[in-house]
Amino acid sequence: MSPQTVQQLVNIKGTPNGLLIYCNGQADPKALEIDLQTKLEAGKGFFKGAKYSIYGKPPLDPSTLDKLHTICTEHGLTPAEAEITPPQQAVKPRPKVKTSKTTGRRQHSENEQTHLLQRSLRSGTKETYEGNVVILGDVNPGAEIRATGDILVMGALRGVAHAGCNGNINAVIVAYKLHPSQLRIANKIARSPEGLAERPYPELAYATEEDGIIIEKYNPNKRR
Amino acid sequence: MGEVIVVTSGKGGVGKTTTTANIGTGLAALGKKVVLVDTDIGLRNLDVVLGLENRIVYDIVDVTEGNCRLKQALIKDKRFDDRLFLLPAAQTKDKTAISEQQMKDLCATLKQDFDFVIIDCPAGIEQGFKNAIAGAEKSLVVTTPEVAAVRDADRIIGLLEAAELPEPQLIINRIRPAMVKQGDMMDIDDMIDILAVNLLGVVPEDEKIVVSTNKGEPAVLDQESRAGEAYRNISRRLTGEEVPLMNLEVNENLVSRLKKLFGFGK
Repeated sequence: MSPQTVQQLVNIKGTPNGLLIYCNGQADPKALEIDLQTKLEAGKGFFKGAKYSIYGKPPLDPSTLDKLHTICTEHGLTPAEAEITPPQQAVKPRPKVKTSKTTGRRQHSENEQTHLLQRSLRSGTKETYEGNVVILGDVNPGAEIRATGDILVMGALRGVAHAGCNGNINAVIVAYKLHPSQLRIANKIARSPEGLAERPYPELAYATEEDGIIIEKYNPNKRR
Repeated sequence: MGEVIVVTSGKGGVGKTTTTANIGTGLAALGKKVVLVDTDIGLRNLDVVLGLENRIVYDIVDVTEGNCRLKQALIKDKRFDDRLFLLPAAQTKDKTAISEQQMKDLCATLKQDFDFVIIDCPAGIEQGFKNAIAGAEKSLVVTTPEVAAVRDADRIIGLLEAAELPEPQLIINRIRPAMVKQGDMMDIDDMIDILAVNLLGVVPEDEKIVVSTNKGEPAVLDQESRAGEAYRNISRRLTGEEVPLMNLEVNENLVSRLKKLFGFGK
């Protein structure tokens, strides 16, 4: 879907590099100016200091472009030295998704449920969930938590956790303290190494067909 | 109206019966009227620990079956005039000899006449456990600093919560401070971290317990015994008194002894 629609004259998009101002080149230049003016005023200084590029489709004539630039600079915006992300790229499927797809990015099905469990699981309890599960508590030794999706433990995971228990190898297990007696993801099984000291940071476990279960320090910036 | 407290643990051999006997005796020594109920039918021990073995005529099953009146089955401990009684378990039957409803009725009757009804629960999570907790209002969970005992205690706490017995309280038994210090034994914080319940008391390992158990004289009456002191503290806490945890350090250095003498330092 193009970000430009017939109804909208000016459309301001935020990108990591700055603002991208789309203008409908078919529209009346005067209308464009008014629309840009109102949109920037509506921002009440929010856009101030931002870098921007104007992109017209079809291309705007230079005089209109000049007027639009003036309006922008009046509102405290600064023109970007380099052209901000061309719209062709922005409309394309985001490269992030594409690259990670090849490395087995997990696809959450739309209707996958996430359950919130506001208690600890004590020894002897075994809970199975359809979808993902978030536990606000601990999973103690002798307890078992199973989910068809991901498992998040906002406490200590000391028992057994089985994510992707119906065969989803892309499921992950994250715990604030990951000290399980056993981890299972799909058909992969791992146990904690003997005599490993407790780590004071959250960890994430995922699985690959080749290497089995891998545990790493949880990094919120890393998409998985 | 008294309160009904069940002493339980899941795992066997961690000191439920010893704890029951000592807390019961400790409470009686504080002037409370106490009855101890042994629900370990078929494997009764509490009578031995209290030294009342040879005085059993009727037992709990006789009471529930109507073979005798409740008063007839209660054995009085002569060390405390009219303050400490035992309702012994049957030795020839098994746990199915009484039902949960019968236990509820029994507890309801007993708490009319006593300040504390303390129930010694059998090991395990089967019928005996269910009977023991049926009439209880409070629960004490006994554990030792062992992984297996803590795991079973965790299971038991889960079951107690499911049975809507509010806030079980923990007694850590047989701790050896020297071993904890060396990192060879689970420490108190580790256990509390896993079990997430309130700590009622910590009882150090004490050889005197073996002697007192065999003699049928609860350690709580022995002023020399460290474990006895811990049980005395626990008994006082049960009456609502605030008692700090006893210092488990045995080999104090001179400085900390002096500090204690002058009232600062713990």
